[in-house]
Amino acid sequence: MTYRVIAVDPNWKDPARQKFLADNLAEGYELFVPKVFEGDAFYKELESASALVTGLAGITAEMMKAAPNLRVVGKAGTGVDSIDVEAATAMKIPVAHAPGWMRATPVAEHAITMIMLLARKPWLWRGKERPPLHVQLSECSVGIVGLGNIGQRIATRCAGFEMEVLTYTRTKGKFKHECFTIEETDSLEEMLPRADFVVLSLPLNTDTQGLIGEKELALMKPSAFLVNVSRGGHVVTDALVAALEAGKIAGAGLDVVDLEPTLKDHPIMKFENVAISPHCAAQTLSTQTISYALLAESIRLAVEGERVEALVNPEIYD
Amino acid sequence: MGHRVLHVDERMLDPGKQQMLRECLHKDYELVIPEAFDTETILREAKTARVMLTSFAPLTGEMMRAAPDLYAVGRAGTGMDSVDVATATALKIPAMNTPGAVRADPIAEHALTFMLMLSRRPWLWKLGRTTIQHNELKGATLGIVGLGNIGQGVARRCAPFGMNILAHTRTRGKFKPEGFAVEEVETLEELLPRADYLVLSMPLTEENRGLFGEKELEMMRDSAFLINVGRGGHVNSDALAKTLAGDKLGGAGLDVTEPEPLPEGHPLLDMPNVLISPHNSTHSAGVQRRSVQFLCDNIRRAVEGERVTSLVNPEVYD
Repeated sequence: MTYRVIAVDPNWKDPARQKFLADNLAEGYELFVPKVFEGDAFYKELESASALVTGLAGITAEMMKAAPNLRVVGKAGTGVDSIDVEAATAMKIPVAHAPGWMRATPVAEHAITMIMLLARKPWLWRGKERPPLHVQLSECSVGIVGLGNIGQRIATRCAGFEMEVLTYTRTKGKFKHECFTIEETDSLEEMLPRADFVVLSLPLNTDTQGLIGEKELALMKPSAFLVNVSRGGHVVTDALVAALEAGKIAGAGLDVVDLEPTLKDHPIMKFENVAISPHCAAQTLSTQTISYALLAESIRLAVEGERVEALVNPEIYD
Repeated sequence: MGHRVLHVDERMLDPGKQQMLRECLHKDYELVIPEAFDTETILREAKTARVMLTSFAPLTGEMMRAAPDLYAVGRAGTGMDSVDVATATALKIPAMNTPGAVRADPIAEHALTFMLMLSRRPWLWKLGRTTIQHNELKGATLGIVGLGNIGQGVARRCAPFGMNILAHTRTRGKFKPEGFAVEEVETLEELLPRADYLVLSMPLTEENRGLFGEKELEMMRDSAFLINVGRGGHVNSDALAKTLAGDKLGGAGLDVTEPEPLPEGHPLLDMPNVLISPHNSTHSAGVQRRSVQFLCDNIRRAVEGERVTSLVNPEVYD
C-alpha cells in the first residue's frame, strides 16, 4: 500500500515544488495535489491522507478530522500560522516544519536586497532624468522588529554596512553578537521614530497581527522605509496604502502582503516606491533542497511511528 | 563683509546645492553666485573673490588672473579636469579637491546592490513565485580586484553574509581585516576561475586599461557575475557582450562603461541580466555633504594661511 501525502495549498500545483518533495519521499509514499481545494470532492480525497502538507493555505481542524489515517501535517517553511496547531496537538498529530535557522539566511539576504533597492532605486537608473541622490546606508539606522533567526542575521549584515542597529523584541538580551553593537529598545513606539528602515522579521500570531497600522506608520519618519519579510498579516495594508499616498513614509519593500493571492489589482501595486516580491525570500536552491528533504523525512518518521524531530508541538510526545 | 567665495558653475543655481555649501562654509565666508555665467560677468566678480570654485564648468587661468586677492581654487570632487591646474600652480595657488575616501562607502554599497540584484533578479518578481530560484551569497566566493578603500569596504560588507573572500591587488598584505579573513591571491588567472562574484574596484592606469577582455572573461565561471564600480576602461564592453551572449557568464552590474554612456543599440543595454547605472554610485546626500564640508574646511585653511589637506598641486608649498 502507498501512503498518500496530500497538498492542501494551490501553490503546490507548481511542478518545481512538487519535485522538491517527491524526490525526497521514501518508497511507498506518493504526493497527491488535488484539482480543487474545497468542497466535498476535496474532503473525500482527504480520507486517504496519511499526511497533509501546505504552504500559506490553512490546514484546519476540519481537514484533519476528515482524514482518519492522518499521522502528520506540515510544511517546508518555518512559520506555521497557516496550521491549526492547537487542533493538531489535541489530536496528537505532529506539526512538522523547518526550524528557523534552516531558512533564515536567504530571508535575511532578501531583506537586505529590499533595503538596497529602496536606497538606490534602480528603476530610475535608466530614465531620462538624472536619478535622485541615494540613501547611504552607512548614515542610516535600521529598526528590526523581532530578533529571532532572521532578525539576528539581518542585524549582522546591517552592522557590516555600518548602520546603527536598533531592535525591538519580546525577549531582550538573548542575541549574543560580536564585533558590533545593537540597541535593544523597550517599545515599538520608541523605536519607530528613530529608524530609517523598519524591518519586520517576527512570527505571526494573535499578538502580532496588524502590528503596523495607521498609528505606527504615523510614528515613522517621512523619509523612512518599511520592509516586511515575515507575514503580510503584520501590516494593515490599507493603512500602508494611505500612509504612502499621504507621504507619511518614503516607501516599502514587501515580500509578503496579507492579500497575496488577490494582489494583482490591489492599490499597493501602483506605487513606484514600493518593491514587491512574490513571497520568495527563502527560495534558494540549497535552502529549498534541505527544507523539503526534512519535510519528507518528518513524514516518514511520523508514518512509521517514530518521533518527529522538527516539529512545533513536541508536547504530543509527553 | 566676509571672504567672497565665487562659484563659476551654473549648476550651483540648484537651491539645494547652494544651501548645503552655505551651511558648510565657515563664519565670515560668503558664497557668491554670479548673475550670469558668461566670462565677462565672472571676470568682474573675480576681482573681489578670495576663493573660486567650480563643479564641471571650466575654471580658467583667465579667471584666476582676474582675481588679485585669490587664495585658492577648488571643487568638491576628486577629478580636477575642469580646473586649469597649471595656471593655479604658476600663481602659487592651491588647487583643492576632496579625497576619494569619502566616496568609498557609497561605492561599496553600490557594489552590494548589484550583487544582491543579480542574485535575486527583481525583474522576475512580477512573474510570480514559482519560477524564482535565487542565488545565495552565503557560501559563495567573492573575488575583489583592487583592495583600496572601496575594495576593503566591499569585503567588510560581504563578510557578514558568510562569503569566502578572495582579493587580487598590486600591494599585497596591506589590508588587515578584523574578524574575518581575506585570501589574497597572487594572480588574476588564479582568482578568476574561483569567483562567483567578481568586483572591480581599482583605479584606471595605463597597465590595467582593458584588463578584462575576451580571454579574462572566458576564465570566469559560466555562472559568475561581473561587477564594475571602478572605471569603464577596465572592461572591454564588446567582449563582455559577446561572453554574456554565449552564456559564458551569469550577468553583470556596471556603474561605469566604455564608452560612457554606451551607444544606443549596444547589446549590453538589452540584456536582462545586465544592470547598468548611470555612473551614480557615489551620488548620496552624505557624500556630497562630507565633500563640501571637507572643501569648506580647506577654504578656511587656505585663506588663513594654513596648509590645505587635499590638493593636486602640492608643489605650491615648495
